Amino acid sequence: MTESAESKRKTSATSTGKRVSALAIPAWLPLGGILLVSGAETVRVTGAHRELFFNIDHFWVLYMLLPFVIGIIVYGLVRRSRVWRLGKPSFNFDNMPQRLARVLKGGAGTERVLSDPYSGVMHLCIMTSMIVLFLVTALLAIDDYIPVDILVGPRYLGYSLVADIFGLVGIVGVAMAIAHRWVRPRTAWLPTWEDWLILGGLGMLLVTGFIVEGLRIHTSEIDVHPEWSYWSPVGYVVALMFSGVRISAALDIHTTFWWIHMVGALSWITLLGYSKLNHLVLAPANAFLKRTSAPGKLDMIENIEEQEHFGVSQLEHFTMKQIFELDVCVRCGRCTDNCPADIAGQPLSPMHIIQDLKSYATSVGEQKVANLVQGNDLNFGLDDEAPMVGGVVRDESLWACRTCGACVEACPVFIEHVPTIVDMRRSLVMEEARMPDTVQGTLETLERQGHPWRGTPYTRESWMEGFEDQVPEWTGEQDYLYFVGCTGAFVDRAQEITRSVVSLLREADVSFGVIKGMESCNGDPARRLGHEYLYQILAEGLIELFNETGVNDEQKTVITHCPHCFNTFLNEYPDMGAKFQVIHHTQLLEQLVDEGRLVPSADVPEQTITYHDSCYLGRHNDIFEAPRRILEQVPNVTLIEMPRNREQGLCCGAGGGNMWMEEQGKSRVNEVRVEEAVATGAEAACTACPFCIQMFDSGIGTVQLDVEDEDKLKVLDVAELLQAAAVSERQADA
Amino acid sequence: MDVIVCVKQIPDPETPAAAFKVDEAAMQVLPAQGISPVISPFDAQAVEAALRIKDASGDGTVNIISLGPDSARDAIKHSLAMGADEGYHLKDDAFEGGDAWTIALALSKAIQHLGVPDVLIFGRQAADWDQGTVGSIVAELLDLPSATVLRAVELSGDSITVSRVVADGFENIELSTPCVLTISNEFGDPRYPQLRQIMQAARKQVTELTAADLGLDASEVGSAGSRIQMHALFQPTSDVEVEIIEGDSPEEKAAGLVNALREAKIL
Repeated sequence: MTESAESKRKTSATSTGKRVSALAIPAWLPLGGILLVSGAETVRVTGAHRELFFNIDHFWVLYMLLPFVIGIIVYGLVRRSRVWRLGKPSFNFDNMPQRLARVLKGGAGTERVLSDPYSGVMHLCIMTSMIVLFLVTALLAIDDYIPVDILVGPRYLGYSLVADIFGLVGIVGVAMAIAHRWVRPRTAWLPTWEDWLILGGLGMLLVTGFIVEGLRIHTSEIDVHPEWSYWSPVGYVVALMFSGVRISAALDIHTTFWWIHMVGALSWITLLGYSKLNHLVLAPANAFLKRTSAPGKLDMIENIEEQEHFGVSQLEHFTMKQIFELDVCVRCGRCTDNCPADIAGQPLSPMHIIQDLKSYATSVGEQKVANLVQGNDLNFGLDDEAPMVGGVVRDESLWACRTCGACVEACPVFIEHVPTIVDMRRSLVMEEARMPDTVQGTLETLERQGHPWRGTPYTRESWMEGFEDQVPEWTGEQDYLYFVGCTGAFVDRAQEITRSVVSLLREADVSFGVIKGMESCNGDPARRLGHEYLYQILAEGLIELFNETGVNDEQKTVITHCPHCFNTFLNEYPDMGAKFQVIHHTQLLEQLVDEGRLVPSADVPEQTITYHDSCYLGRHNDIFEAPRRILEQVPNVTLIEMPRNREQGLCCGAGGGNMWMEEQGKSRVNEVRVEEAVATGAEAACTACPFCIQMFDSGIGTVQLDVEDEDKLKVLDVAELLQAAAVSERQADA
Repeated sequence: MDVIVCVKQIPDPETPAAAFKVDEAAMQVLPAQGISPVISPFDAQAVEAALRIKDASGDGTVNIISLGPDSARDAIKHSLAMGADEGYHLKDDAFEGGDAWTIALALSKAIQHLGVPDVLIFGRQAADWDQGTVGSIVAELLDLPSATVLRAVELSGDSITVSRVVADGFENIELSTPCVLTISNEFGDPRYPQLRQIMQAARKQVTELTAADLGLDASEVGSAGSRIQMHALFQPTSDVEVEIIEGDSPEEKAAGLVNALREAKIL
């Protein structure tokens, strides 16, 4: 990221820090526990210990097996990596501190896993149990190798207690995971052989571990040193259960279970190379590989006119990272649970897209690897395979994506679904020209008229009619350019908001201007719809206009009306040569209120308001608080939240070009969101995006069909509410 | 099967009414700011029909002719991007100010110049002046059978079966080739060009032809040869007056409405 882009990101950094869970720490507590107990030599336990390989001959077989196990795991991962390497190289190691911090917090600390209470606790139980039991085993081995005995006396007993507790914690975790698959059915859930093998195997290991321990205590400890046994509480209980068994028989059973436990453990661990258990290694790696730029930014296709293909229609068109992260997916289903399209019963499940591509990478990808090895054409023998785009992933799933980023935000293993989906859209639009009629109409209107609003009766200046003298023309001298954008100009409801923003800027004596009539779309809809070429043409045109009119200057700031324009200018235009600063109208208005240049003192009617986060302002650019702080400053307003808010906010349904598409499925996303807003009991919903406003308005039409007009949910832009409270009568009349 | 499609570039019909302006003195339509001219939508459908004929017959060419100023090249390029093979641009100052007759004359000469193909296709009408006559005049000039306002075109051996849109339904006709067809919007949406084709089309040469190349004298074409004279060009205004009929009951309102309609001599 260039320096200017860096500084621009700072201008928008009115962000809230992500909630960090302290729960991840307990994984490291047990070591402290051992030390603590070892210090307290209060009990008569001097000499307490146990014999390694008690009752076991030929234990050296284990050491013989170990290199094989490691080899099998490495072979599995290396073999799979050949499929990853079909992709294009895409390694980006910018911003190392942020990447490493993410590995620690998100990888080792499992920060995102913990955001869901049930599966967070479940995962924490299994993970801490495995870490502790691994350390316990390693410690025992070390104790055996070094000449000094560490694990004797109270230290041994503390050690034994910790091991028992975490064995039990592991069983609880496994039980929760198994119950999860029956008791808590999820829309996206699809357990397969992997789930049962991993969980069943782990459960078996933990149970046999306790049986072996119990038999050892029964045969060698309980009669001699019962006070030692209390420090292995689970093993002690198991020993009592075996108390009727003759010692010689118990010793035989012990040997059998010991071997089951050990060989089972070594077999189970090989799943690391062949199943989703590989997330132990791959998830932290993906935390490292995830981009550090704004999540809403799409990558540019450089030298687009010289490309051999546009977008992704074959596995090898993906980047290595995109193929790699298919294997990171553990099918937890959080992406799909948070996907607005899936919530509305529409044909998109991000998890299934990733999983279907993963299966495709296994079948077709491995064939491609074999073709490469044998020197064949890459696609040799693959003619009869279903196409990846249109077959494995259906067109309607790709079109249903809102690019809202809820899936990316929810994914505990840092998969980035949105760029993968848009890459496939690019192929549909540019390579195959296959798209819904509504998308084609939108793209044609963008090409011909420079805006996406096909059939609008308005021109770029319509919103100024009867208001022209209130709107200063951009001269290049002012500090701020107010970029109205297409929706603010061509849609009547949005025109009212445009006028509100102008009134507020005038009230606060902001030095600003508008490029009258000459604006054109910045290309965001074309880009999200997959037409990267059209985006680049539109962006080049607009940058040229900004160059000619003196806007493209580090000293100038563009105020955007629309969060989508904001995201594109802030995060994507630096790639096109943009130098100007960017601010969203709610950010500027908040500053003006803060500085006392806007005083929301007028007596607006008492009302309860719920704020709806625009995805491209909130989740994609971390602006959650500025609009809320404005609302809090308006007198008589009580702000309440919908259950899904801020990072978890639900899309209005318009993102990713869906503003101009027909929705397919059970219900409409905007109706789902309006129902959530109505359920809060608020009288009005406030937002800061012209698309959200339209989606709410149309959703209210159906959700509140039978409600009297005056009782219907009102939908306002933050600017409109602030205007009512802060613009003097004199100006409002003018 | 070889096809020629004649296309026209027009001001974008999606131009909002507020941006549509005419110069009454010069009797000309003023181009709307920021909105580029486009291929007439019916003509894009004509290109689509031609491409489908070519695909169905398995061989042949689809060539494009357009008469117009420099910018008309874009309409030809759009057709090439959709998949047409060659483009011919009839460009000459002498063509300016012509009417349907002079344009049809120039087009028919160009078609003869290139060789009369199996099928000649036009849009049912240009979506700016909506006269819908050029296709039929060309058919007369070349003495070819023609079928207009078509919703479907199908090849059956050497002949062509078409379905016309008529006031109370459809009319199916079989024509021998060569013939002239004009395509209506019921035919279906034209294809969206693939990016690769747009780029190839951008690199393709468009052949320019002048009146002299076609053996036409300047006095035969353009305003000199026009048979239609324009007397005035203006934007009609329509005023809407709203009258709310008051009344205490629905019956009273209905009676008031009947009276108002009688007064307006509608009833």
